[in-house]
Amino acid sequence: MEVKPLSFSDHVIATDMLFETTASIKDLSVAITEATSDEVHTFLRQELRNAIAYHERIYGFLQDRGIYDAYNIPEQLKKDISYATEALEQ
Amino acid sequence: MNSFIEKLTGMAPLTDQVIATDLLMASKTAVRNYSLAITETATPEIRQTLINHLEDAIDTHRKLSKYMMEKGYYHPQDTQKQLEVDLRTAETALSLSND
Amino acid sequence: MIDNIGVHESLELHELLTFKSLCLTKSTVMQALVTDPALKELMQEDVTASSRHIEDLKRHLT
Repeated sequence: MEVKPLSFSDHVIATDMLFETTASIKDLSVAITEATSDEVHTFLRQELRNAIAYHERIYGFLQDRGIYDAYNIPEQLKKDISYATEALEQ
Repeated sequence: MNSFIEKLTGMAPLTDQVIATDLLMASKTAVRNYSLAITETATPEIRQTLINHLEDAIDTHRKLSKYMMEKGYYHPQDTQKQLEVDLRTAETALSLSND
Repeated sequence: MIDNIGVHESLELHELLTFKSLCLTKSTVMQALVTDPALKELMQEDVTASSRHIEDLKRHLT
């Protein structure tokens, strides 16, 4: 698949979105086990489902753009190092 | 260990409370563990399995906490009452380990 | 079942499998100590669900 490589700032923003969604999934799952009323519980549960679906979309986007490679660790490390180098140069 | 089990079984109603609490905590941990695992998976089939398990884990946790509220073991709306239950449980736990 | 799963994923699955196996063993053993029928039923449901979950996780790992 031929896709344009992401610009550095787009890369940063998309990665930040992925991390924020991960954080929201963790927080929502904690909150669900503390909710007492049915109304709050149902709401949080739906929010958790949405967050998981959203996480999948962002992850898929980053994977399609070649930023994530879960199946090839050496390749992923190379990518991470070049990203870090680029960040240092900014 | 055996006398410990005998002691526990000798106080049946309390055993129920202890076991329900243990299950509640386990189910809470399950919800957290599955949520974390979902954010670490890349394979769609595995993701779907984990999502299904997470839904089951939330159901189990919900049922258990409702059961415990009905039984008066768990008072999320009343801190004072919860403290009384917890202190009584702590006393029993201490007395079990002391003799 | 799936021929290509990530290292990270397989570690997560291993951890969940260990966790679930522990839960299942505990629920099965402790069921015998429980007196309240409603709690017993909840535990039986948990045992059934946990067994299914363990089978699912095993399927992804083997």
